[in-house]
Amino acid sequence: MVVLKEYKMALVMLALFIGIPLAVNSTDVHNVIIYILIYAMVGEAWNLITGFAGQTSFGHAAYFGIGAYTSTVMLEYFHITPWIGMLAGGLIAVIVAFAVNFNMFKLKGHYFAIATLCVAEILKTIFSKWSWVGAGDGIALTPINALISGAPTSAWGKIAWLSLDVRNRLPFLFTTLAVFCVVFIVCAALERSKIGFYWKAIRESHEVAESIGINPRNYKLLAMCLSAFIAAIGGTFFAQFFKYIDAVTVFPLSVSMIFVLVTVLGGLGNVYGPIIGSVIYYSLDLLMRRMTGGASSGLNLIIFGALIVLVTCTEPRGIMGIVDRIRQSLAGRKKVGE
Amino acid sequence: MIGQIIINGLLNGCVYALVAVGLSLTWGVMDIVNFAHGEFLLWGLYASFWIWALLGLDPLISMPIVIVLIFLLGVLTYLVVIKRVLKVSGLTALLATFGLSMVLKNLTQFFWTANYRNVTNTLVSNRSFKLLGMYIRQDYVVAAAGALIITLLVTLFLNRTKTGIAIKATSINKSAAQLVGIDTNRIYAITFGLSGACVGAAAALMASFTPIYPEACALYSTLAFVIVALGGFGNIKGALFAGLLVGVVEALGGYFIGTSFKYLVVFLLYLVVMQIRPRGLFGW
Repeated sequence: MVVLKEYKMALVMLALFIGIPLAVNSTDVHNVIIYILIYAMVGEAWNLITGFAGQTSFGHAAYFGIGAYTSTVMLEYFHITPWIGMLAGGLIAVIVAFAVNFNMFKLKGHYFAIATLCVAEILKTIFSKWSWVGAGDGIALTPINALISGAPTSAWGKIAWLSLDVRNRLPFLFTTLAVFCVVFIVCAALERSKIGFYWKAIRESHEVAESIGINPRNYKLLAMCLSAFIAAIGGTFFAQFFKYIDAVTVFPLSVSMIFVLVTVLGGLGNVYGPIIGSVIYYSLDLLMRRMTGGASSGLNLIIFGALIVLVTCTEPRGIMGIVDRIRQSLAGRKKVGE
Repeated sequence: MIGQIIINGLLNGCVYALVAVGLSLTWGVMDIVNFAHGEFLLWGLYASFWIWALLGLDPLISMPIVIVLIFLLGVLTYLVVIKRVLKVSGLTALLATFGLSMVLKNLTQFFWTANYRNVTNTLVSNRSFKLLGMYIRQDYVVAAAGALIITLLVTLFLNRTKTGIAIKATSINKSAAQLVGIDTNRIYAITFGLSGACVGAAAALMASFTPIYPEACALYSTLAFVIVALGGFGNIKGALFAGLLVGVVEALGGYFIGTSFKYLVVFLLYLVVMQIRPRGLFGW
């Protein structure tokens, strides 16, 4: 019961994420929910390194893109199920994150943030010129049926959730939801664990953390590797959903910034932050597009940007700050009522 | 041939440096990562273009007007947005400037569509002259010289005027600056305006050879971030030299490895340099 009470919010949200797609039979809404889950997943990943360990990353698109490319290449070229592809992508992302960041944490603050940006930009250039992965043309994912006729041995393609085939939108949505739940639970557990406390100690004061015997470098590296793994899984889901990837869709700064945006909007350093931010970001995005009749004029993004400015100016702690404030005022009112 | 490449790189680097100096001011003095910096540049370009298209004034002549306009845009940005998020910890200020950049970029698309626009028949032609066996484009030379002069003026302003010294004092220690009677709020507004003025000048200098469209400045703003960090935060001299270095490295990379890889070389340069000097070339 204690667990139930503590995670009341998470359970309510889970119920909504199961209930709304079943109740609303609209492809548009389903698409938005899938986007929400994918970006919230990578937002959770970004939150580990930036929210908990305090190292700002502007380059998470690097690991997102590695995940997207690895699983897609394995599926398209070798006919291996994305479930294995996603783990392989995660593994490669971890290796890259480890190698790149092994010596990088001696950079502090913004210097580190710009370094992560550089890593993503370098990968973007390499992948946009690497002909084996389609270079500038990218890779378009073939429908599962066509793949199966080419490779009759891969029976996994017949079951929608196993093949991650996006034509069956609801199964795909619930698969994404299930994976997101796993990611959420892992992140919440990490926050509560000794490692999570070490991360926060490093975030608050590098020197104090060192003085009590924590090796900041190793723990930052651990945060980065875990973060890269989760980001790569998010990338796999994105590729499966979007059915087309190229370097400019998965690696640019604007993609890295979406992860930053949804997390900071929801609440930095809070496990609920990314999911709340993502829900608000993409519901608003859908609403704006519907209201202004498409994205061509840019009007939706003008209103959207203005809203972001407004929220940050009035409630700097993000949406979680507003939630806290409402909760406090409710609690205050209750006391007055008694 | 190498001389030719280095000259081209240096000329490009001067303009990079001016954009980076503007960014360095806000980043160094106020510790605000201004993601709308590229959009300031964009608005400067559009201002130059419309003054040219409607009034027939050459971008080089209308430069003072553009500088004042973007200066005002910077001050306005500070007063309306940045002031409110300045004291908040975390990445809130970054989020605010990101929202602002979305607004500013898409406003240009909303008003003037995504079409490419070009300033033509400019005062300084795009013809080349020959010097020591190297071909040098006139408009590039004018832009580079202008960028150097403006950077010099900004440096003089920061070192020689009372306001400039107050800006430096505020960047070193805000509360101490307040103690000696500096109105830090005013100083911040001026710093943001000055940052805008640098970008306005850069825009006026670039307008004659840059296609103008809503995405025109994305690359410049990414490069400006790298240049400022490479030079060391809040260091004008660092931003200038890093800008020139990036220009040259980019040109050499483009020649030896391939045009499409020239920015890759710049980003690699940053990662390598930071291993040796983790606080930038001129940081301490």
